[in-house]
Amino acid sequence: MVGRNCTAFKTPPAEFVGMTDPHETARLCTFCSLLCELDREDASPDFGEAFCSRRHREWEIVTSARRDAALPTIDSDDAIDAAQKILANSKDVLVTGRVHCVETARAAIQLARRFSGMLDLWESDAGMDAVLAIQKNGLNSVSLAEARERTDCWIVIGSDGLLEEVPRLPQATSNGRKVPMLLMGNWSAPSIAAWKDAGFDVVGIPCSMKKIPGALAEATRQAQNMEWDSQVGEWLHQAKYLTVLWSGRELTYASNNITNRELWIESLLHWIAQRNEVIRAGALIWSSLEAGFQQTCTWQTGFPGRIRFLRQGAEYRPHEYVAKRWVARKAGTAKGEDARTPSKPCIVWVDDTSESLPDPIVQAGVPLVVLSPRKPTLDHPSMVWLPCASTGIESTEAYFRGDQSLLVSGRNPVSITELPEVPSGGSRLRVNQWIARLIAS
Amino acid sequence: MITLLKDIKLVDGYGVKTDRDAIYLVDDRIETVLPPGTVVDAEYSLPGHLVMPGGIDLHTHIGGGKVNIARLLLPERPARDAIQELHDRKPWLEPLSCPVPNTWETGQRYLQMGYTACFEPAMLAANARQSHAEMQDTPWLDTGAYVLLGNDRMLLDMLARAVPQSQIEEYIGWMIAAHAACGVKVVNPGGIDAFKFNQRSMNFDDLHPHFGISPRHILQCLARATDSIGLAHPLHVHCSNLGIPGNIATTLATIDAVEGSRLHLTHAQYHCYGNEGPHGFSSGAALLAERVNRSDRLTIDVGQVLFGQTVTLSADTMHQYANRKLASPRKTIFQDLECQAGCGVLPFRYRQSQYVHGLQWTIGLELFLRVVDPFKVFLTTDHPNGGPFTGYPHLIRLLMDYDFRMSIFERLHPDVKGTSSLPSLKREYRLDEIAAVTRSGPARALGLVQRGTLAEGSLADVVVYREDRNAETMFASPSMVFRRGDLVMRNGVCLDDCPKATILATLRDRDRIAGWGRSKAHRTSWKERYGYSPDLTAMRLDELRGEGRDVEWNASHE
Repeated sequence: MVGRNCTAFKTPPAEFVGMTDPHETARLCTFCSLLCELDREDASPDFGEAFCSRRHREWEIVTSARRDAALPTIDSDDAIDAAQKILANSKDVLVTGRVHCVETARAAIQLARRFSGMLDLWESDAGMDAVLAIQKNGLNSVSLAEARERTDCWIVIGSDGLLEEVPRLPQATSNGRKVPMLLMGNWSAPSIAAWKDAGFDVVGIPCSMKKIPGALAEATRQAQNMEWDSQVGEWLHQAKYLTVLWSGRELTYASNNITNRELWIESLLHWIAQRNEVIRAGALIWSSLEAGFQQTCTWQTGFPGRIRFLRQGAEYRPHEYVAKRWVARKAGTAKGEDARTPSKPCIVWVDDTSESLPDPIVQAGVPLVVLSPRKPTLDHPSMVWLPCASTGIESTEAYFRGDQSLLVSGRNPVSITELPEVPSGGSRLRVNQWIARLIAS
Repeated sequence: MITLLKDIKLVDGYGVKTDRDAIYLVDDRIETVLPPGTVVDAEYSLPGHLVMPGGIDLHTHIGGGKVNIARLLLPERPARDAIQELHDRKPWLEPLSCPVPNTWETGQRYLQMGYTACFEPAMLAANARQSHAEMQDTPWLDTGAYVLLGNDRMLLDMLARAVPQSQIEEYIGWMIAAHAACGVKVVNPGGIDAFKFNQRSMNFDDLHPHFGISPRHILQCLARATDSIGLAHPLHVHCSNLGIPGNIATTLATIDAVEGSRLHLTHAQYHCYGNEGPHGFSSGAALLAERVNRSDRLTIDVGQVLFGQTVTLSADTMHQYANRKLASPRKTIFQDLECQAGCGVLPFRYRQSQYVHGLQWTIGLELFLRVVDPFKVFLTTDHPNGGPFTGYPHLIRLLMDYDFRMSIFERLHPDVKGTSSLPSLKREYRLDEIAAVTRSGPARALGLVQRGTLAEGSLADVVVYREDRNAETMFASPSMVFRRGDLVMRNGVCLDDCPKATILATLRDRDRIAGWGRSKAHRTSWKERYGYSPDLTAMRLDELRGEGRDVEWNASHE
């Protein structure tokens, strides 16, 4: 009988889960969703500007936030009391911000649930456009390592903005083979060169982003008629595994003039689905680190965000529960433009980056609790700042890679410059620790 | 804390305890006798009730990438009024908010049925941290997971290069340990990867288009390895040719191929189809049951189909893709993942009036009724693939009540009624047999020696049911659930959170296995394949521990 010969393991095995060093935390760059490993096996000594332009830039932001946060002294009990007063007086709580890691996401969800609040990230459009398109028609996708290994023809849609967002994407997608790549959109010569330097056989196709789904559909129709004469057509025709890469965030740029992003994504996904009837093809929709929030929120509530917690549970209204709209509405109310709902609103800004508060939040005129490493410039009685540690830098956190197939845990080592000490705050609490205190009492 | 449950019937898979009518829960252990003078903290006299060990679901999709993708794909919710009405009448009949509910609802609904441990059967190594994170957020349940192997190109490449079995076993052991798994699952061996090379079908002896190895080869390697490294749970196999008429031949070939090794065939219902009868689709349940009955190395879980809306999700992208046009509603997700496996998500509705669905329903029940030893067949719906786990009480009634079974059988497609042998199977499960298929059997198959039994010293995860002629009512609404000796659910109300454990595999020769991840050559080949080091997806024990969370090792296979 199966299992009959089993014996109980009386003494648990030593602290061994099988990895190379069970006590070592992975060293990651947590500044973009590529989550580059800063491994001792890598050659780069300091991972500075030559390694990645964004890493250098973001490090400056973190450093300056810590410098600014040095004063004044924050009495944590007083701060918690003040924040709780704001929350207790409010009947309409918005929890928003920039949430990158799973730990902060869990805490933000817990907070919104506790205060029956609305929950939506500040920059949620890019992620939600893709979600809404997928919820209508589905998706054929491919993860990064798979695409790197299997793809024999890449279509990369976008502009220089993609490489500003994820500078090392060309290296991460290349496996050393000279693979054809169609670079569609608005790419400058240096960006095209970056893809070429990574080893791709690149053809740039300057075109309007808006028209790309239609153009690809048209190209395929021609392929079916066997009227290929260009190199591009030949590549598309011969591809056995096609990967289409774009960044959700780029679609939101006004310069790209895509008025209905959801439809744009749907059209492209439809084209990819059609290709799969004949060959293999997948979308690689690159997300920002905020995918971590979307994933966590999905498993904890059933929805990717844009929810309000009601007595019965979370209610999902992706076109209504939008943080930017909420803020605009409340700002209007504060100015007397719309006084229909005297709801005693408040905003809890949850941020595990070191960025500044967005202007609309500052200007909303609504009581505000800010959980962030960066001290807000705003200073008035109805604002409370709870100074937070820089997650992923001062502590180990879990982040989703941009293809959302990998959740990794690690922290960013001090490597470019030493972080300034925070003399008054001492060791600051992480966002989730502050929220635990807020909720506990 | 000492709790006494008395005047109660004690039932586990090993029988009804006729010599006792009480048990003590002393802290987290079951005791039958206490020293004289011991003060009991709480005492419950429960005539008309019975107590069983906590339920164990050894195959339920509750955490990981494809589970979350299914949640994302299905934001639709039933009308709240309808739910409320049902809730007011019979709370235990309240449908899940979604076929793949959020983590909190999953934990709550399992607990409300008396389940205390659940196992995610298809954890991608790359996705292990997410799977565990979701399961950690699933309250009240101890959890574990089987790591998916057999379509990972590291393994396929080793097999193609004829690397010695001992080295492959080091890799397999490392994958289990590093990703905090307690077993190994193989899904359509080699087929998921072949689909990435645009191969649309793969029989058991077909060769992979790139690696030139067959599913047989992969399966034999994994089955041998599972035994050799001492895993308590045998290789957990999702066979080739899922859902295809005539696939019983593949399933029997799979069993034959690993003669001498242990094997667990999962969602066996989907793998025992003949190709006879009026629609070229018939039952192969008798053939499979006969093999299970005469083998002492073979177990199955059924993957029973229950009628209604659900969503199917599987790593078997090849066959999920083949069924894409059956999606209802018509939207699907397919993913090729990290050179390790894939994922297909497809909403689906099983209809009583549909011939194939009706026959699938009868085939599942046939398996339950034809396998003689209830320690060889386990109760699952392959949640959510055959139906949601909340259908278990209904399924138990189908097994315990012939007339009820037949009342539903009568509503099926006429050709099902004309061909199925189900009416001739008059067996009705006894309570101890139900305990075996829902607790004691899975515990034994997983090496959980302190669970699934009411023996002295066992874990005090126990459930109290009010005896009822209607087994569905009885198993849907236990009176009390104790976890580690603490009362955590009473009359449907979850009282308090409780400590949770992640169950890990005990491996033989673990130092040798640890060496695999330390080897520079292996680290280099891993990095070339994935673009990152093996450290990135490997988990630390401290990630699984924390407030109210700990790890626990199962027994090893001797």
